[in-house]
Amino acid sequence: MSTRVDTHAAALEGRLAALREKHWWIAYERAREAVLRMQDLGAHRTTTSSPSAYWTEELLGFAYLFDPSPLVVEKLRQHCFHITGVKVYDYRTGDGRSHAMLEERLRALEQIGGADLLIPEPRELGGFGFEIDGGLHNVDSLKYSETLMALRRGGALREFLDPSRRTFAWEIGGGYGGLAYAFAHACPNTTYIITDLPELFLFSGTFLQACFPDAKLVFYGDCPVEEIDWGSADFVFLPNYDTAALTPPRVDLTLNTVSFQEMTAAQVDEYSRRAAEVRSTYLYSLNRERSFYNEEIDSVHDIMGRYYRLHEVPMLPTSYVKVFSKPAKPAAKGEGPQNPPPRKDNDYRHMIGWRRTLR
Amino acid sequence: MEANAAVRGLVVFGVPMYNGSPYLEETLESLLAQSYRDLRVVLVDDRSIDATEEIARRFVAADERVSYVRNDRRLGMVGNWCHAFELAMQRHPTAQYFAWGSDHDIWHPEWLGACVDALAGNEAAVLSYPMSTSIDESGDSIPRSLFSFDTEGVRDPRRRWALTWSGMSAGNMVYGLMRPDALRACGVYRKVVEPDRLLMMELALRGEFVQVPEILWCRRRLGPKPTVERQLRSFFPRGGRLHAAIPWPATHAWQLATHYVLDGGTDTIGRLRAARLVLDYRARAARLQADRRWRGPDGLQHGSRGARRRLLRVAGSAARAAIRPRPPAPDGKIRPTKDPHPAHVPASNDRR
Repeated sequence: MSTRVDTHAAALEGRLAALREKHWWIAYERAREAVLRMQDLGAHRTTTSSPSAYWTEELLGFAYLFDPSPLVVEKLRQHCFHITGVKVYDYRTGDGRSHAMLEERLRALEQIGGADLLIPEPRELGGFGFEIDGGLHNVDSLKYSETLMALRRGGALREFLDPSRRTFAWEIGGGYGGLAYAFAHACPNTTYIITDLPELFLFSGTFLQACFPDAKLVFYGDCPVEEIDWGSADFVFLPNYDTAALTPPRVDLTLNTVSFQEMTAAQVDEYSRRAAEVRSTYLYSLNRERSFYNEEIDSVHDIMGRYYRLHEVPMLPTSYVKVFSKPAKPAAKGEGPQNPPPRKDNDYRHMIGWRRTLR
Repeated sequence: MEANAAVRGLVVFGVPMYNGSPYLEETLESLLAQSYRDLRVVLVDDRSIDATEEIARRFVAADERVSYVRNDRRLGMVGNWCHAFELAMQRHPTAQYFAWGSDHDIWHPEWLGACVDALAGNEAAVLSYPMSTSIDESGDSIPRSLFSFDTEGVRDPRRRWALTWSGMSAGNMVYGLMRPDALRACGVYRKVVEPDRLLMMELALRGEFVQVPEILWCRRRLGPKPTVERQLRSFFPRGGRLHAAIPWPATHAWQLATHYVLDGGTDTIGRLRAARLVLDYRARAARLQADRRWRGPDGLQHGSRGARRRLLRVAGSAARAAIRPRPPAPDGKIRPTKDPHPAHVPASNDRR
């Protein structure tokens, strides 16, 4: 008995030791070190940069990622539900109904946005989803593909798709790095800058390095801000408490998906203003006016509109959160085709803002 | 797109302005929001008396790509458009492409990138423009059929000429992206009524037109359709009596004859062919002018329109040729006569 336990324990130790040699584990350790350093540097956060009540609660949920086993990091993507709510359980083999509904949305997106911007979920770090056309797809990956398509329809992506030009994108609230991955996949000649709560870089810093092993990642605090070589970096990670550190030669596009709605009004104002200050040509947003549980803001778009002239980019009639909703009841005999449900004021909207030159 | 990168270059917008302050800010923001970044904007104010100057100067202060000039004296629309081109090219002589802006329309962010790619990808092209849509004063969409026309791949200038006459929408196309040399060779903007129509015809002799198959421009419709009288007032604020007295087909034909017959043809059209084209133009233009007169200043047919349509429906194509609308007689009555010329299709997409 004891021998068998020892054998298993030794095998586990051996496996863990082997995993610690993997490039993604090294990336994780580097990200953790950077996060801890950022936490020290940001110990005196202002009220504006403090996480909202919503995010304070969320951060507690994944504190275990400061001391994980390599087995956890090996499946890091399956722990990202803390950020996006998308769980691997919903993508089990044999769930034909969900598979069909996801594929239906994928086809609809393909039709309006083009197959070239359908970026599948990467298989690194436990990527999951339904296999469609040889790639993994889930609600997250479709959401980010839809974002790329909305950007293209809104006219903001053209220069990014030209591989001969270096471009600069700034994402506010990068989450686990899903949009950054899709964006870098579609627009490889881009410096992608992420501003977020430092703790989130445990996810995004690890995930992006795992997906792009040769990419150059720069974390806030690696060197003085003025010494950052923005043009040569692929991903730059800046903490939310120092928006002044955003000093690339220019910013072509600022993005936010599904986190403005979770911030306070002051935070959204600060980020929007900063985007305008650095003369970001566009400000893209996929948000509701506010998250249902967030009482610290009334209207995301009203605040963005102070600095950017907003234009809605129509995409699919239902938002990405309704992929697995019950399909519309088929029309009864004799009834005409059903109209889509009326739009609600607090639906997700793809918005492209053009910078207001005169404010 | 990579191949085009080598021949992409600086683009300069010349923006003639006159009392357009209500929409100026939104319009200029749309120009400055072009995803194609290598651009300059030269604002040329024809002595506006509203807030145009103040808004323009604030843009100059806020964006180094923008410059502003206020004319010493009022030039009128045609003069100001020419001045905008000359100033833009004078200030940015290295510009590869030129486009006129306005003080009230909306440019989609991809407008410039798409138009530049269209020209950079086709050396024979002199003009590119997208599909467009119309909006009203408040920005609401005005339902209209989409204008679709190009001469891409048509190498014969005479064929391009004929196609352009029948298919152009001069008021939309004149806001396209142009090669400055070609525009200059066409006299930029001749001092005539309907200068955009004449410009399109001349450009057609110089090269191909490429249309980007996407809606990337919103044309804001302000007020009623411009009449010849209104054009005369805005084009020639200091006179224009000659243009008022002579029908525009004649002045256009005279301009064409002067520049393409008397002064010599183009590289692709000799004097003799040019002379034939001038005669052809004169005839087509006269028919168009007559057709418009018959329709009335609001663009609608008056009088026996319904009866005529019913008759046409019954009589078929033979009758269609036989009772084609003719110029009104001095007493104002319609005078249907047999048309000796082949059927002419009016520019159905021309929204002027």
